[in-house]
Amino acid sequence: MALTEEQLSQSSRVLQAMRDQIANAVVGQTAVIEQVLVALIAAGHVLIEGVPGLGKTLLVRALAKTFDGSFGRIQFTPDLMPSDVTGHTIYDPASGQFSTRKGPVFTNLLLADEINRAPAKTQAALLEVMQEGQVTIEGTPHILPLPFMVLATQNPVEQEGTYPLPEAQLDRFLLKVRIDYPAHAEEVAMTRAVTAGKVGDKLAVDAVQTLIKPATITGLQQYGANVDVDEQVLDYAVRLARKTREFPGIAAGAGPRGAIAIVRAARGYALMAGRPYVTPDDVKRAALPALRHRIAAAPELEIEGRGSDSLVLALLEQVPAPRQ
Amino acid sequence: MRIDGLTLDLRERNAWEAFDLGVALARNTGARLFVPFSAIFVLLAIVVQAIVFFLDLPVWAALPLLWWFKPAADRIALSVLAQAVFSAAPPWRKTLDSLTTIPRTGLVAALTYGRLDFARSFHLPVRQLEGQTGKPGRERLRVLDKKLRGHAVWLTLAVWLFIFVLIFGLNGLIGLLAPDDLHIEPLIFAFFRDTSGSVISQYLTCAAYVVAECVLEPFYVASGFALYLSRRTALEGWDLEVAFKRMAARIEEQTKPVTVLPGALALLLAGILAIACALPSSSYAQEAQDEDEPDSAATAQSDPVLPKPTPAQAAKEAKEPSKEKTAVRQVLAAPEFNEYADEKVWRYTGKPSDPGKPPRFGDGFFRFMQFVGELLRGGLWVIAIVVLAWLLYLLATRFGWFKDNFRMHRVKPDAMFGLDLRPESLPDDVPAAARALLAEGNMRGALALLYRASLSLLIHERDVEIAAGDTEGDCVRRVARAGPPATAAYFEQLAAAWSLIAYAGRKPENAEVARLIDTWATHFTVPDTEGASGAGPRAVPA
Repeated sequence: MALTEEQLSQSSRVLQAMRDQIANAVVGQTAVIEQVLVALIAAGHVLIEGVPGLGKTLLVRALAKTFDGSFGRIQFTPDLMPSDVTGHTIYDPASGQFSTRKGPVFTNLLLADEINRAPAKTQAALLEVMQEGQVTIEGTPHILPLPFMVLATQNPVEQEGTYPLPEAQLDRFLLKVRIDYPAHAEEVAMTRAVTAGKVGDKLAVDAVQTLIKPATITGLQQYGANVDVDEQVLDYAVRLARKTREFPGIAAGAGPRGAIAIVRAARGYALMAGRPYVTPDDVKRAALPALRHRIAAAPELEIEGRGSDSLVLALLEQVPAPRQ
Repeated sequence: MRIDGLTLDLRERNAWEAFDLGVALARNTGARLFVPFSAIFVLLAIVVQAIVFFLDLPVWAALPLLWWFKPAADRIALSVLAQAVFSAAPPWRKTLDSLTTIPRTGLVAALTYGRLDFARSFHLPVRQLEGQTGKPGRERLRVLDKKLRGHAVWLTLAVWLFIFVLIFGLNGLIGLLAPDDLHIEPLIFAFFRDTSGSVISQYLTCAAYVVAECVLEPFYVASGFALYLSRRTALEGWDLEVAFKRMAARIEEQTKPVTVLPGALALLLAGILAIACALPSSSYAQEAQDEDEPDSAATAQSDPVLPKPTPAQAAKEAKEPSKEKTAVRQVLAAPEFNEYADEKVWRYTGKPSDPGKPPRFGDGFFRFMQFVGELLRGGLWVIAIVVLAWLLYLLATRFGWFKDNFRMHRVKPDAMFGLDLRPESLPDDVPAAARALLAEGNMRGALALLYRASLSLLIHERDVEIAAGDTEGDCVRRVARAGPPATAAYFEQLAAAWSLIAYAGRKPENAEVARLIDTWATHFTVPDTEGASGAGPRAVPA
């Protein structure tokens, strides 16, 4: 299905408006907002890494409000059980029946805060839900509402008492977004916005207007899936992913999901730009968030303080872009 | 004094052995030494602290005062030690009794001008036990100091160090273990912060000082005393005297039942003893003074005066010419000692000549070291030159000297991402060629030519650096940074049109492409490449 000009301009307008609305609540962090929107269009999940207090929860709530979606939040702790995430069945003595109580995953946007604080069993339950899009409780499958997107966060600084996500599970996230401290001017604006005439420090998403219905997001995802990808561009994405497997300094490269993630995210970027086709630029923009959590830097580079980001950037410099 | 009552094994010791002996002596005397000393010293500390309190001085002022009055307490330690050495450790009552004699042992001098004596513990027995003061005292000390003063001073310094270590150690311990609420700041921290610390810290520091002195001062006094004993053993042959006395006692014991000629035997032994004791002492005495001045302290030292001869006795002994000295003079006056003979020998008085010098042991080593030295000198010169060159390089890069002369010329690629980027590979009239392609309906070809020609000229003519990984967007950004805005805007439109046809398979408007072709020449000019192409064809990668 080829996208019409009208569909394109409409999607682009909607996405721009969503971005602007979120930016009303989350000051600065333009790239982060874009990447989260791209992941939403690509129907992928996002792993957000950043120190506490940079507006991760605010971002998710603002995003949920733009499309009138439901929003759930799970604070991951070491004693969190899989049934706390997915839901469980309890016996009701009054009626003599078993009733199913659905867990917090039955929502449109789920914020899994500090996902690396829960043990592997609970992490695996959530990641399975992310992959399948449904939850089975006592043998009965329950389909999750669409759109469904998990935004998991983890703190890069406090590593004590955490259960780092294994490579295989990191692979389930479409993008890994790095949220950094805002610039000086942005922080001034944020401080002003948060404190002016407000009581307490509760997160305020009043400035965000609801623009669309959750069904529209599903439609946008459909449009995103129909953005054209030229063979050359597809080849470029695959070459990028393959290069990670032989690039010096990378101990473990990205699997086939790497190239898939790049192309899915690149489509999102193209749709956001109102283009019916993906350019190598889109691929290049998508490559860093799509690859950074799929590669493992060699120990000697980690000792030198060079992380996966610098490796992906070096790799992007070296892989020739398509030209004809 | 009875030397044969000594509880020590006397022999000629060097200074360090003497200090060991002193430490052992203090240890063996134990509570009999430490308890009286500590009692006196703590009493002194309380008195000093009270004085400080009533004079409204800072608490730490007690430290120097206490240090200054310390010799008063030393005397009780030496009194106990002396009695311990010559008989046995005194009973408590006797120790108490000896307190009364302390003021008469040169205490005033010791607490005034004599306080800064660095060999204090070594000199103390002369003042306190021999009772030597004034000129005879000074002479006596001169003789004793002759070989061992340096050691005695080192002993004082070492004990100071130990005292400091103990004070700081105790302070640190208290500071570490005391609860924070008490605000106890160890002296050492307060010292480095240039404050005097809280009052409680100052009191604790004073207490630490008292503890340190109570622990170490008896060892100091004992070491000085042992050094003094060792010096007198060397000067007066006390060890020999003790040995003879014990021998006499043994023989006397064996011959007791017979009781034959006891008087004669005793006389013989006395004679031997007299010679044994007299000879060394007079020789040392001669070192210490002129022959013509028999009334010096050195004369007195031949008669051990311990434990407590009165000053009057000592002076009397010093004035009397000794019998031994007279005997020695008589012996030396004998003809056997007065024979003279002249002997003549040749002695070379010129400078010793080097070539004739026999090879000495170690010459090879010195030559080797000389070689190593030369090597080191050469190495240092090399390092100096390298450092200088490096500094020059740093300055050059910092201020951009030689920037134009030594500019690195980047190697410009002939082909990139499969495109032939040599300017000579371009047609002479790029717009005409593109127009022809467009007329043929090959819009992709026309845009590809324009795009390739633009990139080629940007790289080769305008020195725009374009990497292999640069996408169209990257190229646009680089051109925007490098070129004039008009060219950048044009290139952006061209790249957009090219991206559309290349990646979307969609054709831009014909008019738009025609406009791009028409305006190309206003931004780019193909250089005259005849000279370049005359150089021969260059290989172009496929």
